[in-house]
Amino acid sequence: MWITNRLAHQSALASLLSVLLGSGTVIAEQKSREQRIADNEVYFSSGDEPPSMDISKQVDSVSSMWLGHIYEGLMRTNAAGAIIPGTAESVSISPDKTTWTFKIRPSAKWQDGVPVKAQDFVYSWRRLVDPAYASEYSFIAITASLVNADAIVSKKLPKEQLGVRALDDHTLEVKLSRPVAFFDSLTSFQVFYPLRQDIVEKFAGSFATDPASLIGNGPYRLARWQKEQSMRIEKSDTYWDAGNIKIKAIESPAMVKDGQANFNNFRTGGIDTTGVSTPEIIRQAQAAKLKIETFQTGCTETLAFNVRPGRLFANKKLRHAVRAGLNRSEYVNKIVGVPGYKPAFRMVPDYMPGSQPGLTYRQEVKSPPVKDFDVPTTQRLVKEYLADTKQTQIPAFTLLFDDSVVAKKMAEYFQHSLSKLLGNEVKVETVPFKTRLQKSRDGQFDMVFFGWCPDYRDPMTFMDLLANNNENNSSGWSSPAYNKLIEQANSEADKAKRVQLFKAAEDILEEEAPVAVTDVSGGALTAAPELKGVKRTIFGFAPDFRAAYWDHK
Amino acid sequence: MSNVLTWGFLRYIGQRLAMAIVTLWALATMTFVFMRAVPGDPLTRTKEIPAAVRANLEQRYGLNKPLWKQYIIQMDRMFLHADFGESFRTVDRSVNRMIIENFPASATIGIFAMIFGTITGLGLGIIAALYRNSAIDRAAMLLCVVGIAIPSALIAYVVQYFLAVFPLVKLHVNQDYWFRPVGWGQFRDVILPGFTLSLGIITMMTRYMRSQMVDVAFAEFVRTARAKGASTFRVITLHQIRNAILPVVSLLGPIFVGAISGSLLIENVFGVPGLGAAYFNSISNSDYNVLMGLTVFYGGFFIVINLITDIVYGLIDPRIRFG
Repeated sequence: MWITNRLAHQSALASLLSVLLGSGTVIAEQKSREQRIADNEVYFSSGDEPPSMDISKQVDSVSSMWLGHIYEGLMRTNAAGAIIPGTAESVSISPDKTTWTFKIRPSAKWQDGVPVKAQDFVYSWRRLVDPAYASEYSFIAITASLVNADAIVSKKLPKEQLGVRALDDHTLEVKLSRPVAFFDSLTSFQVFYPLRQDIVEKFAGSFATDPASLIGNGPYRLARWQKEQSMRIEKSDTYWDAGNIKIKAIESPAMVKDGQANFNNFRTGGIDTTGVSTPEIIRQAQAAKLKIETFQTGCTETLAFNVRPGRLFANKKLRHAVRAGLNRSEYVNKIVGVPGYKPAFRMVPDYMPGSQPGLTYRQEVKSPPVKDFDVPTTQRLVKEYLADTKQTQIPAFTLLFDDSVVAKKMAEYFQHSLSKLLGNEVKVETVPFKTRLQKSRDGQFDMVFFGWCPDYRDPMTFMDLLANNNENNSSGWSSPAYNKLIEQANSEADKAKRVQLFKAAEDILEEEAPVAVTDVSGGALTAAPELKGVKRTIFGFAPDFRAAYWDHK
Repeated sequence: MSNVLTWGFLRYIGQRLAMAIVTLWALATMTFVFMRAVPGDPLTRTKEIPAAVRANLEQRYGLNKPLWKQYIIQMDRMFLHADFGESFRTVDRSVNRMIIENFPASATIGIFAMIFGTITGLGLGIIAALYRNSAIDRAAMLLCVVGIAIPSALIAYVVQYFLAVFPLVKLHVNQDYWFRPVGWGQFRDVILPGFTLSLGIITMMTRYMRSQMVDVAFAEFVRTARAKGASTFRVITLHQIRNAILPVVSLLGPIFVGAISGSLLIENVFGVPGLGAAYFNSISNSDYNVLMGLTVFYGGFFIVINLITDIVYGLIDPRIRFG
């Protein structure tokens, strides 16, 4: 190898570099896959550096994934994605569903051996809504309708007035201002994990920045964190359910976001599982005969119309024409090209649970199937539109997209296919991400590509989006009847009645078509054949290694 | 070299340092203006933050203060207290710590690329010029064209595949004694990203050195040296190379700063824990303090390196006098 030969002559350089290398880094020994299987360890790439490991501060997929292994909420998700008791062993709910009383497990312990108390939850939740602390995610407490959360965040009441208190060390009482049917699922969410006041106060500004200052109550404890380089968590013996945790250590030996680099690292045995997230990587995985698993990430993606007066898509017929004629399966299969994505027609995706166990919302409301790529309907509507407006051709309109490589490819596809479908000129404007957000909010577009990911396990997380008080409703669409139904659903304690309210609201969307839903997002991954039980659920964190194990044949 | 330590020289250094501070301040001010002019702010999200929550965050970060006050606070903290402030994204992490923890990795591959790239580039340029229009010359020029034409993203993947993945997966070489595609902490991990980064430097150096060598070959002092009967070796080393290399030296400063300033792409592909990702994220997230801090840090570096280059230039070129 000529590179290494040349380098061999530059020994002075080598020593200079090793001095530099040594100065910033702790050299950690990395194990081969055989060793990892023998020692029950898993290596993967967590992508970006976690922006923060303080549970109340930053909620993003990378931090959530690590914190989900280090902490545990009152409830937790099981392997099937269902909500089951976690640090709480039981919960009782008042008939009006506004008072929830959780019993904390006596066996629940912090990683330094101290028992978990109800007060730890009270402390953590008060910190979340404290305006002086200013957590970006304090709005989740408002969504959850914790009594007074809104007033505390707006500085009208002190944080001690929050509707949560410890009746004794093991009893936590939560008061909600309205019945929140999905409150149990919220308690499995990162910002509702407990915190120890003594630890947070002891470390203050450096809390949760290294293994010494981060003590959780979950199955794993932080063992190593080298910024932008690596992170490692190891099984904690103090966890109440430690007997069911098989993997002894989970490590991201490098923080690499690039899908191709991660795939290369996987192929050479550097990591044990990785996403195969682009058509090109999928092709390579297939060529190498790797097993590909698909999963849903559950975000609804749409083309949102600008319905503001004076805009082209203020015309309902034209909105319906676009919605009917989209070729979603072609878009998903040929343009997105990632298994796991599915064509979709309605805001609330197929997986969303309904009011009865075992039945999804979609099954419960018995939505009729929608025809994809319904060109005759489009042609009829376009003809009607042209006759109504006495025009011979639809005026040109502009699609607003991000300027990323992926988004540009999508924009080109929609430009071409819509122009073909409607027989007019379609322009594309690709702008940086933040400019796109700004323009959407200011209503400076005709049609914008817009995705929405669920915050909680209830159709409301999608239905709420088009209500008039929602800052994210960029279409400018507003319907008093729709708003009223959403308000009613918000205060309805009966789950079955709520579902019917959502159904009625959805009928309005069907009639008005403020957005054309295109697909629901997903992904694909590959893993070492012996690695089993790694979960990716829509509402939990991903990947979830709590039920993972190596299949020692 | 007796001209170096004169009053003129010291006055020159003093003037340059004063200019450096003014330049840095101007750079910081321009950065401030531009980053505030871009749509959105550090709190812009796909899912908009509710107004009450946003108000609390703005207060905590001081974003609710008038712009001129924010400007004064940032300049004061930076220039009078040597503190770049905290990141809005990686909460609780100061920009100073970010530089201390992650700059060494960027600098390591940068220095490697710089040394390897400069030596290889100069060598190739000299050989190409001496054997002008030969097969070696054509090959070197082809390499340069290819080096410019291929995007560095592709080069990184190609290097990663052919030097790490292919040998490990297909040839089954020993994992312990070979490059790994992704990793950091051992000397071998420097080579692939460093090599990838050096390709741009090699391309630039080869072309520049070759054209300088060709220019010098027809200069009168080279002809005179030959006429005096100096050996070919002596003419090439003492007359041609020494004169051709001078303008190339002035390129080293900018190339060096470019090399150590962290390439997002190369660092990301090879898992180098450098500053590239932080710099990139700071732009896409309007992370004001990080963006400002890293810009001023690299800007300062650039100014210092330029100053050193000018001084070195004076040392090796007798035609330059300070004062």
